[in-house]
Amino acid sequence: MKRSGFKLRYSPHGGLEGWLLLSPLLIILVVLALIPVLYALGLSFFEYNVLRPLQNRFTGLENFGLMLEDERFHTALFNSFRYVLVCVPLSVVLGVGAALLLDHELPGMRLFRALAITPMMVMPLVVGLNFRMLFDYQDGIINWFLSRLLWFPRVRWLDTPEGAFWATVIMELWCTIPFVMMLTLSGLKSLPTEVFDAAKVDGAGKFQMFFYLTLPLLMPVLTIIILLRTLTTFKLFDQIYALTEGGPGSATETVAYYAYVLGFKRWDMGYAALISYVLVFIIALVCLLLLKLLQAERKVI
Amino acid sequence: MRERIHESFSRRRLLKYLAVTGVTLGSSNLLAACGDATATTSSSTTTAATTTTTSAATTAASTTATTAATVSGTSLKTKAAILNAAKKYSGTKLSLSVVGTSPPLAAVNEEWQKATGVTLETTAIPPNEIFEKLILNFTSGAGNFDLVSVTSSNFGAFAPYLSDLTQFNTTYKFDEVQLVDMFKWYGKIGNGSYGIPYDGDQYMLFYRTDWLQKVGGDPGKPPATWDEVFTFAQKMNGQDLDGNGTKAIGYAPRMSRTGTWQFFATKLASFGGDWFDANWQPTINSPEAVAALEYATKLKDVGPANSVSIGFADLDKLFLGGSVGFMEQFSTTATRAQFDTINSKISGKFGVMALPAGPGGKRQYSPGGVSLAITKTSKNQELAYLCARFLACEETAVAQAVAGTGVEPTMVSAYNNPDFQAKWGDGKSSWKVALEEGTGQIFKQLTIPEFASLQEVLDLKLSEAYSGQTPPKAALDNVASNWRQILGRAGYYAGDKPKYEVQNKK
Repeated sequence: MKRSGFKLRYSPHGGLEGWLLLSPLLIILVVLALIPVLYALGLSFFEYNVLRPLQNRFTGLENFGLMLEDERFHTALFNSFRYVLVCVPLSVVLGVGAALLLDHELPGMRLFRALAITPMMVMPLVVGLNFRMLFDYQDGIINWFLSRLLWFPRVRWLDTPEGAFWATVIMELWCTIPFVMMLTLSGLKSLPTEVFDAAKVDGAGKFQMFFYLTLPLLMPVLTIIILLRTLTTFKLFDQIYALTEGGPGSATETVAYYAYVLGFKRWDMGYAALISYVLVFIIALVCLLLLKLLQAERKVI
Repeated sequence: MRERIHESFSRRRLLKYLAVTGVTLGSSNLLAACGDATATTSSSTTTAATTTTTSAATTAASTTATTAATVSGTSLKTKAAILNAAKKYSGTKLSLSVVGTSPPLAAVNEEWQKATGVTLETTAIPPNEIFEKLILNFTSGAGNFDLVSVTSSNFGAFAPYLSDLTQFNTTYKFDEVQLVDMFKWYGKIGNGSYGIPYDGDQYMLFYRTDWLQKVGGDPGKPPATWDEVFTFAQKMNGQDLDGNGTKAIGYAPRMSRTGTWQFFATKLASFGGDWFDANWQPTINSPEAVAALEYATKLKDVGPANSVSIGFADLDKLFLGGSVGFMEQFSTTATRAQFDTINSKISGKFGVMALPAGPGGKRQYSPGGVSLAITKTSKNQELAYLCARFLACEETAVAQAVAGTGVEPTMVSAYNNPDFQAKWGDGKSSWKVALEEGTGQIFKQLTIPEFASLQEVLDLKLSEAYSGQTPPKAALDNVASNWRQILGRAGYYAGDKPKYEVQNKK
């Protein structure tokens, strides 16, 4: 007979004493994670506005109905998917490429690797503010470079929907390529050298070795990278807040940004909680789907 | 007999003495009303009278004194009177939160602390975060501020957490302060008065006098309508008017997503539009409003290439840098343009005027401003009130305005002050423009609690219209539909809400 998946199977060593020793951590988890999560879930069934504390009421699935008809939510969802579809593949391809370039023991390579991961250490908000200056139409260094050195016309990065979209993509890539590169590099370092030596003896070329050996062997690491990148791109908020504020219009507004607007501009906490839950649900679903696809790919390989 | 005479004399004299004391104390209030800084406060008057004896006669005298103080009130017309009244609180501490862009001058703070012995702790909050920070502060019950500076549009949301100052205003004769009409609505919600007007904001149209002359205009007679402004801006745009090879920008519009509704509201006012009808049905998509948005969008044609991302701070940079012919901006910029010789390239080359008329006539948009309010949780209500009066009084207001802090006076007397007239704005006619604009027909901002939500939706759709994602009419239709939904959820159509005071009555 199959056992229920929900049954608590964990039992710490030492019985009651074990539970007692675990209790501080459990209490912290319950207070800081479980209660807020459940509270937010409950909130999504309410019309709960901080500005009208006396009018808050249980509305059941009303917020859900509202969401289905909310054009702005649909636009935000479309934008979130667009960012995932563009940013994740680009960051993985460029990150893996950068890792392959850095996977050589040359003089000064350690220092170069350390420098290459510095974007990861900068706070997303600071990144956004800096890129805002870089993308400035008149005084930004990017337009200066394009117009003065390459004789291209200045680009209205933050003024047109397409310009703003690609500006956020470039910024996002700058932030995330080092992350992909670092994980891939550590994956490359742990690959067994014997397999590559044998392939060399058999006369395999560099491309053949990469596509038939390196890539399949890296798949476990790449799976994790793709999943993490998908997850973080869906949550894209800070950089957008600092760079475009979701604009112009709603061109760069993501679901996470819209949830922020609902929660902290409109104070409609009930609806904001629902949107956040829907985002979590979508992320989980997409990640599950990706996992299945990538696992299937690994089996084929 | 001697004893009887003494007894009789004593009673009569006592009553007479107390009556004279009552009249004298009443007169001191009258003197104070006339600006005598040495007048005592009503509370100290009452206390002094009630602590003499417990006899019936004393009680009568005390009542007389209290009545006299209440009827006439205590004048706080001068800064000295305010500081004097606050001295009794020496040794205490006040906590003030201010809009980050307009904190009181350090010298003002020092003067207060030195004269009263009361410490004033100031926390500056960035303007775009002030609503969020304060609403969280209030709803969480943190209660760490005595005084808060509140933008006019936020009073609807904050009123439940603020003290009604009506009684203080009566006691301390706030009606002595003659406010400019445009600022009279600051801090008023229903019948309550929740703020002391502190920073009087108003938009002005800035223009380059030399450029206007070069394109055939008369600097002494600037364009009177929006259409004329556009025509002149068109003539300036793209021309090398300074002869240095730089192409002029005709008009600098504020179109970046956050705060662009202000740029639209100035047109909505003069195009004859309104926010709602009497029953809170949005009229933001009325033909007047659509025409206003079409005009605002058109200004992009005579603006910089990156008009859609031009924000509040960019406007000053462009105008002071000498690359723009026209711009609408808060009056504060005039002081910087004229007197900040390090950053301004246009000192002596620009003029200011009231915003021009549109098809709906000459109606000025009142963008709100900042008032000082007292939190209900403050344990020093009277002291906080006195501090608010000090920070907003004429002398302080003039000192802060001419220093270019961005805090502009709200009272008529400050604008009539010769020192102010010479050092504020362009140092010539700015004060006159401010008074003229401030006393004309006014179109007010909204003060309902849902204002921030409505504004956010409007900002978004205006930005879509400017960037060409949505046509103006469709954008405003969408705003109207969203506003209806927001107000519907807030119960505005349930019937028990007071009617909207229609502002565009013909």
